[in-house]
Amino acid sequence: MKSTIRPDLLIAYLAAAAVAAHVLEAALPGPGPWFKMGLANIFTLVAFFHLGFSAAAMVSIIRVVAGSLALGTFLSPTFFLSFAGAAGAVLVMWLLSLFPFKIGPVGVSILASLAHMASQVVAAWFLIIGHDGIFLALPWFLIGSWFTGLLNGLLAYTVLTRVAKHNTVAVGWR
Amino acid sequence: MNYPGLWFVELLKQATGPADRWVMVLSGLVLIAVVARPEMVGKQVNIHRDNQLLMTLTLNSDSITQVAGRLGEVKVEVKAGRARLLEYRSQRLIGTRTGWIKNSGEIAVCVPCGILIQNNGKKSPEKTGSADKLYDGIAR
Repeated sequence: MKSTIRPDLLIAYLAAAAVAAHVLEAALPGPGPWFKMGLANIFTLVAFFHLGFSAAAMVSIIRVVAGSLALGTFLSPTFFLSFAGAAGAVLVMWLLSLFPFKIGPVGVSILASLAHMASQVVAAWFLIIGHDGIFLALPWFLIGSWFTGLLNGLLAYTVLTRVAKHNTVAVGWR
Repeated sequence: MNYPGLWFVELLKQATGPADRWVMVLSGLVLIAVVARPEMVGKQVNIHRDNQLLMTLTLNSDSITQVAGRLGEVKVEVKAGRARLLEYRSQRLIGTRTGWIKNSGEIAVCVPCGILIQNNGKKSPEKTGSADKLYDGIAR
């Protein structure tokens, strides 16, 4: 099933939705620093499975830059943490796109979420905290990421399946 | 019979293929192994004064070491693989109130004394063993 929307327009729509989710989530109370649901990543996953790795990377970069501009955190430490997390997740997606076996939204989401969290903690250690003690908390952060990755993967699967019914976006397995 | 939460299991079945399930299980097991590993507990503690490393103590044997702080003598007690800083001259006793430290990276610090102790996360060398290891006073 082929998309009936031009790819560049679809990237723009998904990026806009990701920025909206990013800004909305920033306004919600969270359990602690570096711990969010990462709802914006659902749209990155949709881009990855429908248009491929390059589109997912674009959605991710646009989301980080535009989201930080909207929140007033552009080039602040928060921006660099967010950028590092997105870069880690995109790197994992690139590696998975090279693999020959088929892996679905849930698997990609879990691995990307773990990479996102690990990259953020390394960036926080390098840029802000500089103390090795931060890595004591990393395993617990990663466990939280595993669950948020699972939930985001299921949500991404639901979005991909529902949109596929409207003949606009195909569900792909990479 | 409909059980609450069954829809989640059904969705999980639909959304995941064999590769996803392997990812879920393997990443979950790796995380559990990382959380449960005992190496998080370091076996050495560094004592710093005014940002200069004074000495490194092993946590393998109990000891009480006195070091000279800005306000007077400060004791560093090692017991059961943990270390703590003991001094009673500073106003807020933050370093002493920190209590025992045992995990890698943990610190106790008394700013007025200029003394900081930190678990450096390293294992102490074995006291017995091959020639390239440390020896105790009797063996060498």
